[in-house]
Amino acid sequence: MAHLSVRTQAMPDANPFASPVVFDFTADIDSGEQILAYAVAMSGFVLNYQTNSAWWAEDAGAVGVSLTPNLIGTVVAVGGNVMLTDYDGDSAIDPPDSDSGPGSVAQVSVLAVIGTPYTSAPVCATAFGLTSGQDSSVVPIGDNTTSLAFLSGFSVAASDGTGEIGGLTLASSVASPVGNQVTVNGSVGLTNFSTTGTVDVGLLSYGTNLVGFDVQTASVTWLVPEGQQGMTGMFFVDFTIPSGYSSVAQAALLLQDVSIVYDDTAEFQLIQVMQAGDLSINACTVSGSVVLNLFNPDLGAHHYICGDSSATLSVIAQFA
Amino acid sequence: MSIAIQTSMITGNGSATFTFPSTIGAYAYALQQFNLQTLQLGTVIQRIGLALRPRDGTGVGTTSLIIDQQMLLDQVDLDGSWAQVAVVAWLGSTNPPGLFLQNQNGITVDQMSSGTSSSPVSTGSPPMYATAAIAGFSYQFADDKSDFLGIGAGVGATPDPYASTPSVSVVGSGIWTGDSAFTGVVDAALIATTGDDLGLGLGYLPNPAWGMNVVDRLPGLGGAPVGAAAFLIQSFFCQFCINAIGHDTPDFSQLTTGVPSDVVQLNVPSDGNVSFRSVQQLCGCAIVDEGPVIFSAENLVANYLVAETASG
Repeated sequence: MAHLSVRTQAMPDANPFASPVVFDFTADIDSGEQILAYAVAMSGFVLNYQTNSAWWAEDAGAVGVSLTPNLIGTVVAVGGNVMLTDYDGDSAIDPPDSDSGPGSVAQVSVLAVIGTPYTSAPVCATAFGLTSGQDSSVVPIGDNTTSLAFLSGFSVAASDGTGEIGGLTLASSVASPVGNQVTVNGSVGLTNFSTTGTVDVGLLSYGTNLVGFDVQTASVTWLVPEGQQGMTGMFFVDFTIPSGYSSVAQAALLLQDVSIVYDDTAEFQLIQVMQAGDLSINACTVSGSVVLNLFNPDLGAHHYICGDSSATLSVIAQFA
Repeated sequence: MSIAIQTSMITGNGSATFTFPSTIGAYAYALQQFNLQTLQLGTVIQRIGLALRPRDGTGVGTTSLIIDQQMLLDQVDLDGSWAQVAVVAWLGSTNPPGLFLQNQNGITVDQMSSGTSSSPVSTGSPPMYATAAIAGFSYQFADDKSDFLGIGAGVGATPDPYASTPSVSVVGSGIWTGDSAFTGVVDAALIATTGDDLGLGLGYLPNPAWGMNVVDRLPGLGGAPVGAAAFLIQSFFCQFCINAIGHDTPDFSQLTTGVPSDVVQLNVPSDGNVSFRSVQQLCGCAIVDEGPVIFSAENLVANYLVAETASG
């Protein structure tokens, strides 16, 4: 029997690449136990241009988030990396400044399977670098398991040059098992724009031998977009606390699909899928809000996110 | 049978010989510090990086390891460009139980896509440590007239989802921003263990502050004083100020990242501690008001995997 621990935090607001995000699971590990497996999750991101011109918004050249984990005993140390470039001296800002707005960061989560060493731990891993739209190699899973796929990162770039975009789509999925095997799939694209891309897809495949957690798809109530403030979605998830536990101790968002729709095909300053502050945990409930955003504030060229935008997300909770 | 750690400087396209007191059973090498610089102050470059390769006939089964270095920088100053290379070796039989040391090269990181090594390592049981460090990188801009804005690389180790028994893969990420897309690879050292009783201490050092820093006592040494230590670069990033001159970014002159060996002090301030200093610099040159002006990077970060052995 193993148990699942969950942690989430945003990249430090200092550098867009090689930003250290450290998750210490020591308090969850009993004597004789260790981290048996781990997966990284991209629970959100903000990508904000810092430009070298008088304009706030620019074309898209390449956009991405990547998370590189290392296991150091009871710590999972993740390198948080984001990229935004138009190949013309404009790039992701971090740290933020008062003129250009928020820093470019990712909300990073780690799922850690903890237990005594044995060789048949539940699958908790990340399929890195999948070509957009293509299935992964087969992943062996256990008997009678449930599999959950989620986004762990992406890279998308113009097939040729740079250009204006109509939005961003991201998707992750896991196929129905064939025997004791599954494949995962991810896709990424910039709408109205020819791109190539890769997707990192996390996979948690679990049965009754993994305890201490639950995951539920969040029913999100999306509000009407408010210009540069973006489009807010609110969610409230009620967990059933299993016997032996008394409350939710930790929780994180897992993004499965994102569709950000622009009101035109245009340049942009900021693109975002990000939780607003920390999740609120109260005994058996987890609530919060997530903001989708895409805008161009330049004079005479105002463009904003459309209400057709949406995201599919799950809340994963660790019980105490 | 024991762990040994050595570091050595390699200048230009030179080599270094690491000689050990007994036969090497397994090893991994990585960068502790590197300096890449061009012949002239301010150069438009299309390619940057360096590669390290073990020479055939050395390494496992012998008592010495020769590492050859190749600089992959346009207009490189071979006399002024160098790397401080660290080797972590297991001295004894091949395939030591519970210890996995190897290098995996050529991990594709085009456009910051996450690449994984093609050769996952089966660890038999879940590792307690699964970590990687940078052993080289090679980036190329699509266009030969690209300005240089920022550069970085990072590596890690991840459970391999495709294996039916516990296995780890190296994962890499890279970035080089400028006026065109880039393609690139990173090379990595993989260090994994399924226990912490091999006399190898491993720790993570995120973004050390400027000036002297101290590594706390690592659990893998069992309380013993430190006999040797290496600071393996796990990830780094440097970027010129985007608004430095209001137009194009400076042309490249020099990139330095890492921990100088000569400032590493073992068992200082106390037994089990290691004092060190991290150095980073990205310099370029641009013409401002018809005169050359030197610019330094604004964003700087480096993260390290520290590896230690006990004394005696």
